[in-house]
Amino acid sequence: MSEYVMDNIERKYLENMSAGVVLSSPSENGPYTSSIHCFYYAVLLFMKHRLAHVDHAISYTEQEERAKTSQEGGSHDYIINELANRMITSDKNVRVFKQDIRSLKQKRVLADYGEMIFSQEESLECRAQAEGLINDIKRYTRIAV
Amino acid sequence: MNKEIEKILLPWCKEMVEKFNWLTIKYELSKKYGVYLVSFSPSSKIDDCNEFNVDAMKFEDELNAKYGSNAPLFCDEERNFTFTEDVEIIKAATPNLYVTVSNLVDIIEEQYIMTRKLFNTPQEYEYTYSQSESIVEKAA
Repeated sequence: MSEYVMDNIERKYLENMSAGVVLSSPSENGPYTSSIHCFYYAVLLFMKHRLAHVDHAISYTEQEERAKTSQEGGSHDYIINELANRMITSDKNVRVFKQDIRSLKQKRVLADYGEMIFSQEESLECRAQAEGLINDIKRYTRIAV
Repeated sequence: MNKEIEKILLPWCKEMVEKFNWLTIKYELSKKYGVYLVSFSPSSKIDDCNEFNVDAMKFEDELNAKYGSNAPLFCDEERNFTFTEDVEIIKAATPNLYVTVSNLVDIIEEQYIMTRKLFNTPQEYEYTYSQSESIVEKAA
């Protein structure tokens, strides 16, 4: 049996998730706002990883080529839509998945560029949202054999 | 930008509640997020209606593609956000009059309980009820 080798995108997804968990842990004046960036990018990187490994996969190179021709939001939307198109589930589940990732994406924009400061409670909500999204992606997509 | 979005959003919402007369749509221009928040309910009906899900997803995708981070955020019930007292509610002008047997029993029971509350004791209710029956009989 061959040993599973983690690629760098999957490694970075896990690193972002771990960093988000650390930043959302209770501390005095904790850097909760910064954790939102980590949770969103953990999901985005996991989507990229999955998109490169599902049936009708799109390689990282091809994803990057497409990203070069898009604005930032556009390249993220490309990943979201291409992965959603490969989900094997109901239209309702796909719609809710898109709603959830767009909600987390909006919070990331506010956390990174806006004046809004996130509380620990809000940070933990984003963590739960990110974990829920990753579970949905695992459930609704199939790795190519 | 939000004015422009409102001009697209509101007619669509009105069209949707006419098409799906069980549907309630709540919306609000959020100070916190700087975009419109839109929610659909009840989720029990949404689960069973694929046509609604296809229509709603198409519209949500179109707005997202056109307006990016200024696009409204959508969700079912209040799954991803909560509204303030400024929320607006859109429902069908002609509500769904289809009533199931179990709904009808619930309505009768509710009416009975409300009527009983008008009287101090069950006896007072029974007496008043019997008096009103005899008045109706005499009138007939």
